[in-house]
Amino acid sequence: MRMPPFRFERPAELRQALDLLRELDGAGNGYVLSAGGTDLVPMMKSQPVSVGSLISLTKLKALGGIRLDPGKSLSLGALVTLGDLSSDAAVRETFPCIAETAGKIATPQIRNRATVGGNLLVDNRCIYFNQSEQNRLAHTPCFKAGGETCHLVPKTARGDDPLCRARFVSDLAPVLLLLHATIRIASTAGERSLPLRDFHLPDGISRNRLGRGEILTRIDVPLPGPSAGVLYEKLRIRNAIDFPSLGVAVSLGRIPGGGTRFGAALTGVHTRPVVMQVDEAARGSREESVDSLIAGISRAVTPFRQGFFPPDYLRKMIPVLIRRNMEKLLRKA
Amino acid sequence: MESGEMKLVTLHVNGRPFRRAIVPSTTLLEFLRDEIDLTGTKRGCDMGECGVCTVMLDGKPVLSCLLLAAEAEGAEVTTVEGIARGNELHPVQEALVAHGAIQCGFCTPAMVVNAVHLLERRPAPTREEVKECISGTICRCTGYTKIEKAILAAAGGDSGEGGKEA
Ligand SMILES: Cc1cc2nc3c(=O)[nH]c(=O)nc-3n(C[C@H](O)[C@H](O)[C@H](O)COP(=O)(O)OP(=O)(O)OC[C@H]3O[C@@H](n4cnc5c(N)ncnc54)[C@H](O)[C@@H]3O)c2cc1C
Ligand code: SF4
Ligand code: FES
Ligand code: FES
Repeated sequence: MRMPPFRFERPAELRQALDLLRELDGAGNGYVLSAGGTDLVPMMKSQPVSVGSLISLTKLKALGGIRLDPGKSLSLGALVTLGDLSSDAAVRETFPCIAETAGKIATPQIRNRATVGGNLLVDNRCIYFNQSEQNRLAHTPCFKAGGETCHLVPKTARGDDPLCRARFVSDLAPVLLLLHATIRIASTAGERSLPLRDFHLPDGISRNRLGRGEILTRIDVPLPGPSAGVLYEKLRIRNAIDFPSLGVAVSLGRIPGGGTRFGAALTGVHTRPVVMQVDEAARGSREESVDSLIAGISRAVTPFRQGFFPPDYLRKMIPVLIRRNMEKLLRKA
Repeated sequence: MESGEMKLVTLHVNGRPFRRAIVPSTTLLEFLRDEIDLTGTKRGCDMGECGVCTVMLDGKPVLSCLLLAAEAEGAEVTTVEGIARGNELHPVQEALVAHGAIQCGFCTPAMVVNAVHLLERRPAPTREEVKECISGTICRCTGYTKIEKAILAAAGGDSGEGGKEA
């Protein structure tokens, strides 16, 4: 399967890469960024149009490495592979849930190339969009493919927000959200930093706030995390290869003034990751807190039929997975 | 963009350099099979889902259908052709043959690469580690059990006879 032609650039320094992006943007030339390429390459193979230039980020040292600043933060370079993330001693020690979740993504071979930055930026999925060319030719192109219709929600019209309900599928996002991660983004204008929870957008086409000319450089996770930690469970047919049909992360921690904080975050069942926290102090009993967490987060998502599991089943599994994993954390706490 | 633009790359495959002019969108899989005639590495789905295109890049298994050939410049690529020593098969290859773990053989080159990598890191792997190691490569024939047994046997941890079915 041939990809449409492109120019290949692999800058050696971040500065060089950012200048190159600005130049291309200034000249009105298209480009795509590639880290592990495990999301991008399949996408480009099913795409008929040229992207202009493909800029490989793989040589950028500033985007590499796992740095532990004890008592302060764990800083993950955007280029750290999921394989390294799952086996790194510092990650396993500080945030075992990050390592375990990374180890549940895709396959061992993919994890040796796929990066943590690419995982937060992975494209949203939809059965009408992520299809062979042959299958896609059988439908008129949908909004995400540059057309004027949506096959999943046919009443959608241009101007609607969201325009596209393709689902967010990153496994690491819910875990990093409950850990209050912040991300660093570089451009020729300098570096900005924002909480991960403000990054993703509720539309399957615009997806996130990464702008033209910007490169995600690092993900910082503050220490210590929630006292009893975070757990992630992934619902899928096969225990390898498959994207999450539903991914549930839960957290349990103490509130500074006393009391317990229950958190949950979901992936796979909405256009963006959804995160919610409930404080026991404000809610009375533990059961009521968890119930209100489940009710709140369930209201915030809209699963569609996107494969084997019907949406009703996915909805029923949200409380099951939240309770099951919360109980594990409570037993540990 | 002009479609004819070529790029000169040098890739190190199985210890030898290969210099070719390619279009930049050439994948490592296309480079191996179509440019330097190493057809041991198979093309299945070409989309990252089946794992039969697995090769080692600097000693780690990766999918050659998802990797641009240009990205492999400066790295050492090992394909199934680089595993045996002349006519002497690697113990993993011997074991796959001995255990009847090869039917159509389409997944075999990838299974060999996966297993050789595992045994380099973990000379005496558990059955779970073996399962994990081949979990990204689909075999449509064997049902995997014979492949697991063969890899365990190659590691010397299992006779291939008495291994419990998982
Ligand atoms: C068979 C298969 C199974 C998969 N299963 C899963 C799964 O279970 N769970 C899951 O979450 N994902 C899965 N994936 C998707 C993908 O492999 C992972 O999400 C991976 O982490 C993406 O990282 P990457 O470095 O390869 O991204 P790339 O493909 O390199 O990039 C992805 C996107 O992010 C952009 N990008 C990457 N890095 C940067 C950066 N530093 N700055 C700015 N932009 C950047 C790229 O331009 C592109 O748009 C699967 C893929 C395949 C092929
Ligand atoms: S939800 Fe998005 S990707 Fe799916 S058919 Fe509608 S526009 Fe296309
Ligand atoms: S051919 Fe590469 S994964 Fe199927
Ligand atoms: S032997 Fe036929 S695919 Fe594995």
